[in-house]
Amino acid sequence: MATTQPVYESVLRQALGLPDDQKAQLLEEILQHELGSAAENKRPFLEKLDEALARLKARMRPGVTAQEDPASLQTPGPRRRPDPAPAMEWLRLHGKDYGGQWVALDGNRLIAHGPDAEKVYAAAEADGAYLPLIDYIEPADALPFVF
Amino acid sequence: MIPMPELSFDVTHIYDSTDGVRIPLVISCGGKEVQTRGYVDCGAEACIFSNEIGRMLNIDIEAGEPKSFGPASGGTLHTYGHMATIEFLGITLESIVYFAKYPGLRRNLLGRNGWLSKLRFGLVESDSAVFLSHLT
Repeated sequence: MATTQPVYESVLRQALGLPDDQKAQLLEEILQHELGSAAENKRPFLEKLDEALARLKARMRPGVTAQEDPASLQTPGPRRRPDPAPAMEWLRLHGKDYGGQWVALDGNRLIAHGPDAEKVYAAAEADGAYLPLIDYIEPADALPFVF
Repeated sequence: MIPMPELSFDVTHIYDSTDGVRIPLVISCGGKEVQTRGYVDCGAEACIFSNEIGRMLNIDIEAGEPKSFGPASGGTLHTYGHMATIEFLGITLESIVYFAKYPGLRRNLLGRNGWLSKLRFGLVESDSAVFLSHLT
């Protein structure tokens, strides 16, 4: 929204100008506030906030500089792959209810489902979850598969 | 009796016994990556993934190497090969993956060339267990 942009930029400049310990305190307060009112669909945002807070705290540790700390904001390493086990377990328990559909899962959270793969993928991207598991579930009455 | 050779493996995976030998994986190609699942298929000549997964990877599927496969059921499956990275159970392989020309392939297949050929692979169906090591 155009009218709030200058306010946002001003707040951002002030926040970025804070010393690291005050930035960490600010992030902590935002995280706690969001956790207090979090709906399940806020999880990706909360995870990113938590990661940012952890990186900032790591940077503040005595003797650790931004270059030395692999978790630094300046040099983020490759992200860890999500554990597929919760999604696999969800599929084992609930997959049969979604026969003939594509599903997108963030762990054991169903992000989207439907017969159109493109729409399910678009919904997963919009959700913001990191590397959701996306797969097609065969209909219960499908003939046995032979390639 | 022929003695069984002693084998060792780096990874064990217990699969869903009701569902076949299916493995969670991440496939990357052209800077994008998708987490999905693939079936181990010792009878498949190569790794064949659905058209839909190729589209999620934003690949120009038909720009790849054209190759047609003859399924056991007859007919022809038209595909296009692309170099891709497949990560599964802590193992990473660079392989040519063939993406179906048309949507509707029900399963992603991990076949001989590009997958089995790069692994030591053990299977105990009665325990729903697969055993894997990356051949280097």
